[in-house]
Amino acid sequence: MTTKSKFRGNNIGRLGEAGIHILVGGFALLCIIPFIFIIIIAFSSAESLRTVGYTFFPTEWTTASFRAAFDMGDQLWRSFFNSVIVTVVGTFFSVLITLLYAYGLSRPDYPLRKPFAFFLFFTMVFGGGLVPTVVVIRNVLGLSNSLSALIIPALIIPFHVIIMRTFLKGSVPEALIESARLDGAGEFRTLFSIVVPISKPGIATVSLLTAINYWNDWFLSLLFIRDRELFPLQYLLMEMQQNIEFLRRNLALVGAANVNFADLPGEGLRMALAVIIVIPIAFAYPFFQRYIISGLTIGAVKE
Amino acid sequence: MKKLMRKEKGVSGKLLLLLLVMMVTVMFIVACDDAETPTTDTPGTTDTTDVADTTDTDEPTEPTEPTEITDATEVTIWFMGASVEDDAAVIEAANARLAELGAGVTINPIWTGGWAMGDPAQVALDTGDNSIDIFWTGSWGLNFWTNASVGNFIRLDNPDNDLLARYGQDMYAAVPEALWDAFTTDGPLGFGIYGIPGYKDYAQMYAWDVNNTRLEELGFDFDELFDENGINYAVFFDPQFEAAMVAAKEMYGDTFFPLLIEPETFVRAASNADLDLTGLSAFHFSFDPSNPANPVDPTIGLNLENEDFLAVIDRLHHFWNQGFIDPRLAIPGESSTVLVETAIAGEYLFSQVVYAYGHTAAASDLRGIDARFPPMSRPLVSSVSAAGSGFAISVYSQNQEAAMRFMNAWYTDNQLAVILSEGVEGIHWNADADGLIVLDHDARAGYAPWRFGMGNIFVLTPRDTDGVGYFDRFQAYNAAGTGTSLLGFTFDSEPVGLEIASLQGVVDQFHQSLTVGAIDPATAVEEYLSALRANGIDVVLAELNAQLQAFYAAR
Repeated sequence: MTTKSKFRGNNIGRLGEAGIHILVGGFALLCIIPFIFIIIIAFSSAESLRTVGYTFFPTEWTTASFRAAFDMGDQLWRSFFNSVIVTVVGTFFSVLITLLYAYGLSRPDYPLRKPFAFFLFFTMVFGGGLVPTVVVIRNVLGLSNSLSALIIPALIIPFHVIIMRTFLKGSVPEALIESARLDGAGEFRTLFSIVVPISKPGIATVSLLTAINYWNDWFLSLLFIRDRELFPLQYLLMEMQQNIEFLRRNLALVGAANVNFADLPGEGLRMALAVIIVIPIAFAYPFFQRYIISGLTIGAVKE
Repeated sequence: MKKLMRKEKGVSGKLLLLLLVMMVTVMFIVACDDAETPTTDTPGTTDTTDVADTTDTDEPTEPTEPTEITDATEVTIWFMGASVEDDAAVIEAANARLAELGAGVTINPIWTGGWAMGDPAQVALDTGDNSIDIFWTGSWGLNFWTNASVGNFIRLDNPDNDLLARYGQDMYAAVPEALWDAFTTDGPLGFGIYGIPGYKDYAQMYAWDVNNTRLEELGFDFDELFDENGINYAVFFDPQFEAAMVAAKEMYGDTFFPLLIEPETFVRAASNADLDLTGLSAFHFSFDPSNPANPVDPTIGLNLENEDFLAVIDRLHHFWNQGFIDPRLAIPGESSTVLVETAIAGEYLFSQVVYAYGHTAAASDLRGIDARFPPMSRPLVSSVSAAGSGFAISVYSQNQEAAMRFMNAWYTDNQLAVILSEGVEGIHWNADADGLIVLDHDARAGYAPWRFGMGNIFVLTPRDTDGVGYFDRFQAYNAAGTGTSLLGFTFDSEPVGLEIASLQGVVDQFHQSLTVGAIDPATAVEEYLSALRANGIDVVLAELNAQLQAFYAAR
């Protein structure tokens, strides 16, 4: 006979529950181990990396990689600043636009919600392709070599609008909006004074997803940024990695005499930069955490 | 209610239609606008140079004296391999020099991407970016032949508008004919010159890289093993070569790996083969190491059927079994890191290098050892080395004539070339008593272009580390280079694209392990060969030889 849990109110036995915990715990470990590995490599000495390669137990620990990262000078801080600006400004405007679009779509009395919903969905399924997209952004919109080129193309993400619309439909009572209207509130006052305060979980979820998207992006920089002063952190690391890989692949063609290998960042420095890049966005999670689960699941069940 | 819904549906349908019409109209306008971009300099911005002097004949146009230039056109140029943080002083000085020369040009450099500039630059070309006039290009990185063939670069000797004759005569005379040949190819405007060759170390040489500090420590005499002025490829089979590595293992322990080799490249070098132009590393074109122009066989074969190649991999496997080769060299993706970092640390006895002139002193200095580079072959000139670095003018450039004027000035004026390559005197460098350049390494940390990727290096002033007469010695080295019989031959892979894609997977599975000695050739060669045959290697080989014979016939 299976022992039932007395505390959980479910039908899973203790053994089953233990199994599930082990499974989920194991999966969580699989997710966290690569990051721990990166941290260990960042703290491994160059000699250790050369002789024993990647290992959880380096022969020598050092902070040299982090010191080298901070010695990179202005470029690191400029890139850090650019990443922060793009993420903060981009997230603010993206969430604002997403909210406005989603609110419109969530209102049953809005006559154009179907065409706009279709327009949104259409862009999820059919993209313009890389070349037309670049041509439109650079030649038509004139966005190139500026931080706005990193912000504006990613302002609207259809998936985020759908999450927000679903959230608004599921968690904002129609009667509340009717009441606000009866009290004389216009659309904007209803949205910002009534809907927004009770939509914090949805907004927090979309904000986090958007912030991660902006923080992690390097592809827009590849397409539109040429001035190193405008590089975000991710692209700085990306360029560094690409540089080394490319050079090593083509060493015979470049002519080794022409390259000062001592100037190339080692594995440790690259891992240290990866850690520096991950930490700020990792710190954002606790601030959003309590909203996220409800934000993602509220509205998932239709009544 | 239904009526209302129908009405709503009708409205949304009309809106969608309107939207689509607007989108198509915008696209049409953009397309028309773009179609006009690949022209000459933007009217009104700069040059009043005569552009009407065109001809329909194939005869080179008589050069026209540039007429008065009233204003300077800004030319944007994208460089390769640079590490530049602050170029303000350099650009100010370069523009001042360009004004003194009356070139009617100012320069706006792009350093983005460093060695990996090929990716973003290719995106710029593929998306018709008209803000960049000149791109670095070559046989690697931003590929010259691919971009020339699809029409991304202008033809410089186009009979209709012979920019080279009109604006680049001095530059043309400064660069050897053989290098211009390497940048002559078939493009949308016919067979012609689509790029400007970089003038640097176009002769390359397969060479050993010997850590003589350790060799002496082990009690071996360099001169007994190697002839620094001879051809040393056979040393690999010398019992003394093996004996030195046995001694190294005994003295330095199990974690010391005396034979540090780059998989594939070493086998190619030690078996005297030219570069496989298909990129598959599966074909073998043997040359006589004492005369690379002389092919052992005028046709290309499979390396797995070549006796020299098989002898080298047999020997490598023997050394692998004795623990002479670092096992990490067999891991794709990790081998290059191990190779470079181990070489810098001087933790090797024998290695190999594709030698570039002047590398010996630089390598010894960097590694803190006595590094020697006895040759495996004579200096050779191949399509890849001759087109190792160059520049091309974008077909989307609106300043094509100004771009040519800049290139001509840059390739021929010592002051301008020095400013762009080394920086500004008094800031980035000072001159010593012999007039040589002494770099200020602190100042240069923020301005470090790839010296050999900066056009014509022979117009520069030597550095103090080069010594007086450096460029003369360098020229002599280049002059000693012999063109391989594949010089000028490029492989068009399009007819066998499917086979090559399929074969790449087989090559990825076997090649690195085999060429570093990790797997036993006695069984692996047969298995590898069967897999290659099953995926169409013979079709590619036939196409390769057909194109080669056509090349010979045309030559």
